[in-house]
Amino acid sequence: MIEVNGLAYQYPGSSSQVLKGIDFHIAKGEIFGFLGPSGAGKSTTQNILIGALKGYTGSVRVLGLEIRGAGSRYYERIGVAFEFPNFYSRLTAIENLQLFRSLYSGTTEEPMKLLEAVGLSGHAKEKVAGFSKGMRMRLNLCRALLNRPEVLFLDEPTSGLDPVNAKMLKDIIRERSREGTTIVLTTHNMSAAEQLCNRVAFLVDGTIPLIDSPRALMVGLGSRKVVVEYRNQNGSMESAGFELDGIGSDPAFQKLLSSGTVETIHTREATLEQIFIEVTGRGLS
Amino acid sequence: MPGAPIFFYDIKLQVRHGFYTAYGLVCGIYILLLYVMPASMRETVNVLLTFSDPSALGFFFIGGLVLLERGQGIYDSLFVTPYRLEQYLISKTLSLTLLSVLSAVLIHVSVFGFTAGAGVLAAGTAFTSVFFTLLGLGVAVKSRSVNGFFFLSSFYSLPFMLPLLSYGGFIGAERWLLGWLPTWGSLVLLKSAFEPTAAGMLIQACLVLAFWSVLAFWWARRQFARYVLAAVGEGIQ
Repeated sequence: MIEVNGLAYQYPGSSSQVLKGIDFHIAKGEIFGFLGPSGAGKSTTQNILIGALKGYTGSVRVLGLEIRGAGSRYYERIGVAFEFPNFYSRLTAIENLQLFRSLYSGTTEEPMKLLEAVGLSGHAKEKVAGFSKGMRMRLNLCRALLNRPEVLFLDEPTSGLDPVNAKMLKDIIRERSREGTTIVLTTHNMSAAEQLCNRVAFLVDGTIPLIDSPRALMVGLGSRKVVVEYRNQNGSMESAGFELDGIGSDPAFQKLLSSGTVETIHTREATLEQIFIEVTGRGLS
Repeated sequence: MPGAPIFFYDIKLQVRHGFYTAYGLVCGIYILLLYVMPASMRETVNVLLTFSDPSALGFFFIGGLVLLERGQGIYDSLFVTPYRLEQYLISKTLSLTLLSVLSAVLIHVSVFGFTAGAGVLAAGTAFTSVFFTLLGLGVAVKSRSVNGFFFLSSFYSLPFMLPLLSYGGFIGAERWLLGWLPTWGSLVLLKSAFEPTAAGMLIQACLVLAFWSVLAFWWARRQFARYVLAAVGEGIQ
């Protein structure tokens, strides 16, 4: 679906490359996340993939097309939701979607159905000027889905959303992925990446030092320990750590379990943020 | 053709931004002005009013629209769709030209009635509006603020005002001297609404305006690609 080999890019007038020969591939229906701090090259990578920046070197093939030569037909097949959800503020939500829908010649979604899916149908006839950031973000996803894209590019899709609406958008993204849409996510929100992505790529200083699934990274690079929190005889909280290997026959662990004082039991997977810092030596903020 | 309906959305946006209300008021003022002035002056003043305002309104309105759309960050989302820059330019130009023609015809018909000259006046206004809208668009994309736009606009529009000197009698009306300017063509067409004009003059006026409009389209397209499309994806908060 997306094949990138030796991608390098240098902005006109800049003395250094912002992307330094990166390689990755993304399969059909996959949710693939680019993680990295500001200035790492995430936006540049996305802008190349969507055809906005063409002066790159290397090969970038999306939907079988080399992006360098892709014309307006390419945009019939992709959807893009930028981080900042900008609209015609004097038009209503439904008018904005109808306007953008009119730009496509292929099959499109019914705007009202999309608004219903993100809980905005009650605001369809309100001008976007009065929308909160969260409402604009939901409308932003609707706009990106209008043309039933085969590849969906999302930049910080849950930014500014409350937990309920963030979950709603994540559910929609997962559903689209199940239906076969390939989703490219750009974010520095580790939690969203952990929950959504099949695989993530760490992007640092124009290079990709690591690509893997969040689960494999978290399990593989975490410690194989279980931490048990329990109440002691005085009623205050204490914790004890146990090696995961052989835990079934660990007498101390079994004694604790049968004591009836256990409050929580957790394995010690690493978080994506810890792994990112460990691999790159850099923070995400 | 995909994108064709956006012409109607452009008109809707202009209505929502108050362009039509503002021009309704302006037309009312002009009509009153023409009514109260001596009848002998009305035709000359109407030509000058139509030339300097309805015909050229696109220059300033497109400046406002481009600055507004850029400020709203619309271009990022607009140009990651199949919508092509050429379609954008044509839709914006024709929608503002419609407002120009409606205003010019409203003023003319209100003061002079439904004369045979109204048609040629509408054509002259349309040609001129196309040219000035595209010129204004090319200037606007280079500007970062309204003040910047007004500052640059004087540089770009003043040379095209030279034929007005001829119209006012300040310099000779030599066809060879000014006849290559689009605004010479505009004045010829607008004047022809009130006086018989040689067919050769009318043809030259149309050809000159068409040539400059094509040139302005090419230039506006180049400017837009350089100053707007090159920045798609950078994002505006």
